[in-house]
Amino acid sequence: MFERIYVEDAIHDHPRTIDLLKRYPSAEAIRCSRYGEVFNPKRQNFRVQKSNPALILAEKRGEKVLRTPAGYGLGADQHYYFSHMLNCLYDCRYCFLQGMYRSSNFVLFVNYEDFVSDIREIANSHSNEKCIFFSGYDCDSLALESLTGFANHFLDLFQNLPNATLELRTKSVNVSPLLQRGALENVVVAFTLSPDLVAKSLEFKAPTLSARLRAIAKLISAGWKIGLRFDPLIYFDNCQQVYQAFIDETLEQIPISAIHSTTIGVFRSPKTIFNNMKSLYPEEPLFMGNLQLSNGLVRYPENVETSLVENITKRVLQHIPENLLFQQK
Amino acid sequence: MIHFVTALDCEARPLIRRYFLKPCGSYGRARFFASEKARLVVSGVGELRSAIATTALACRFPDSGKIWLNVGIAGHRDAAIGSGFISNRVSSDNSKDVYFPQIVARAPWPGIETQTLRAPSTNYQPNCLLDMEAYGFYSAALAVSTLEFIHVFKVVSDNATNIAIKTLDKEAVSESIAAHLEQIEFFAQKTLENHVIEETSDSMKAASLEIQSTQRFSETDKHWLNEKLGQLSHLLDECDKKDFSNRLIGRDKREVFDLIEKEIDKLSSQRLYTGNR
Ligand code: SF4
Repeated sequence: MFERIYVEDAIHDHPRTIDLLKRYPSAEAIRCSRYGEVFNPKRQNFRVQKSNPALILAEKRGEKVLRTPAGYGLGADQHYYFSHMLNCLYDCRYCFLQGMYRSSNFVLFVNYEDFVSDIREIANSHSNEKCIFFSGYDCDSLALESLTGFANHFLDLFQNLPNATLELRTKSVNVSPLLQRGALENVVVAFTLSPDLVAKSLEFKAPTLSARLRAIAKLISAGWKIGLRFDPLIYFDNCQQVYQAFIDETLEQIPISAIHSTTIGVFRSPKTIFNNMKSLYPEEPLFMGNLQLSNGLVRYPENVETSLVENITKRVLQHIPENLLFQQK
Repeated sequence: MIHFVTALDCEARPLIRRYFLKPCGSYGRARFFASEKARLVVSGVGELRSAIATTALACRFPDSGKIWLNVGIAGHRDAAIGSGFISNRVSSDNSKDVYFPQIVARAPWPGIETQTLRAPSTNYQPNCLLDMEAYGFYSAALAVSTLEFIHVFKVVSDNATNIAIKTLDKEAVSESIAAHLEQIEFFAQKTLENHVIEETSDSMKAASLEIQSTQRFSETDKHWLNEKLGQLSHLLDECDKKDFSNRLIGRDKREVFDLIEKEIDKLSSQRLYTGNR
C-alpha cells in the first residue's frame, strides 16, 4: 500500500513504528528529524500527492487534546477533540484538509499512550461532568483502522472512563473491529451521510451511501450507538427535494433508540482554506458559484443557507425528537 | 516538457541524442540545449554552478514546464557501478535543511538519500549517494516547480572498491546514463501525467481581451475576470462558450460582471446535481 514511509527520528524505535515497518517490508523507509520537514514545506501539491500518498510516522508533541470551538458541541458539559492522524484515505472535494495542509501524505502519530494519558487526565479532572472527545477531526476515524489499530486501542481506554464519551467520526464501512468486541455505552460511531448524488459527485473514494447504511445497520444490531452527521449540506438545483427524500429514506431505516445524536451543518469554509481548495481544483463547480464571504467564512448567501437548514431540520424532526438534533455553526 | 540539468558534457550527451537537443545559447559557463520535447543545461561541477544553471534555464524559458530532472553520476559505498537511484532525500554538507522529493509515479529505481558535498570524497556512507550538484539543483528548481516534479536521478560511478579516479572515463559515464534512458523517459512521462493543466478556452480568452481593450479594468478586476472566465471554460460546452463570449462583447464592465456571475451561479448548481461533470 505505501511505497514510502518517513520515520521521525524520535519514534524510530517505538514498538508501533517497528511493527508498521515490518508490515510494509517493501516500502522505502526514509528518516526525517521532524515530520514537518516532509509535511509542511511550501512548494508541494496536495492534489498531485493524493494519487500516491506516503506514510509519515511521527510523535505528537505539545497539546494533544484540545477544546472544540464554540458551536461544535453535542450538549455535554465539556467537548474536546484530538487527532491521532492527519489526512484521509478518502478524497471529499469539500474536505477542509485539502485547503489546510500542503501535503496529502498521511501523518500517523504513533505515541497513542501520550494521547491516552492526556484524555484520562482531562476526564478525571471533570469527574462530575460529562465530557465528549471527538476523534476524526483531521482524518477519518476508521478508514485506516487496519493500519493504525486506533479504535481498538482507544476503546480500551474509554471502557474504563465512565464520564467520558468517544465519538468516532467516519465514512468507513470498516466496522469489523467494533463488531468483534462488545458495544460500549459511551462510544458513538458517527457517520457522515449525504444523498447518493452528492456522495458520487463529491465524496471520492469513500464508500457509497448504501454501504454506509449497511454498516450502520450492522453496528445497531450489535448494540452500538450511532451518530448521524448531515454535514456539509450542499446547495444545488433541486437540493431541497433531494435532501428531503434522502432524510426520509435514511431515518426510516434507523431506530430512534440507536441514535445518540444528529447534527446538521452547511458547507462553509474559512477564506484562506477555501482559496487553497479552489486553486487546487479550479474545475470544481462546488467552489464556483452561489457563495459569498461573510465574517471570514466563505458560505452560501444567508437566504440560501437559512432555507436549506430550516427545511432539512424540519424534515429530520419529523423522524427524531428535538433533543437528538444539534446545529453546527 | 522535461528540463534536464547535468554537470558534465558526458552526462548530457545521451540525453542530447535521445531528445534531438540543439544548442541554444549559454549563460556564463552554463550551456543550453533545446528541442520540442526537452531542454537541458550543462552546468559544470559543483552545487553553486548547478543552482545558477538551473535558474538560468528557467529564466531562459519562462514558460518552463513542471518537470525538472538532475541526471548525473554519484558515488556509493557498495552499489554496483552503473546502478541507478532516484533520490528520496537530498541533503548537503553546506546546509541544515533537507529536501524530500515527492515521488508520485512508481519509480523504476530504488530510492536513496543523495548528499551533496563541497569537494569530492571517498568517505562513503551507508545507504547514501555522494554527489556535488543535487542540492544546488534542487534549491533552484523549487523556485519554478514543486516537490512532486523535481527529481534527482543518479548512476553509480564509483564505490568503495572502485574509488573515483582523477580522470573520468567519459565514455563509460555516457554509456551508464544511456543504459537508463528508457526508464528516465518513462518515469518523466508518468510523473508528468499528474500535472494539472489549467486552461481557459480560446474563445473566453479572446472575449476577455476584447472587453479589456474597450474599458478600464483595475488589476483586481482583471484577476476576477480571468478567474471567472476560467471557471466558465469548465462549465460551458464548446459552442456555448462562443455564444456566451459574444453576449459579453459591447457591454459595460458592471453588466459583464453581473452576467458572468449569474451564469456561474446557474451552471455550477446544475453541475453539482446532475453529476454531469
Ligand atoms: S472522509 Fe472526512 S476527513 Fe476524509 S476526505 Fe472526506 S471529509 Fe475529509
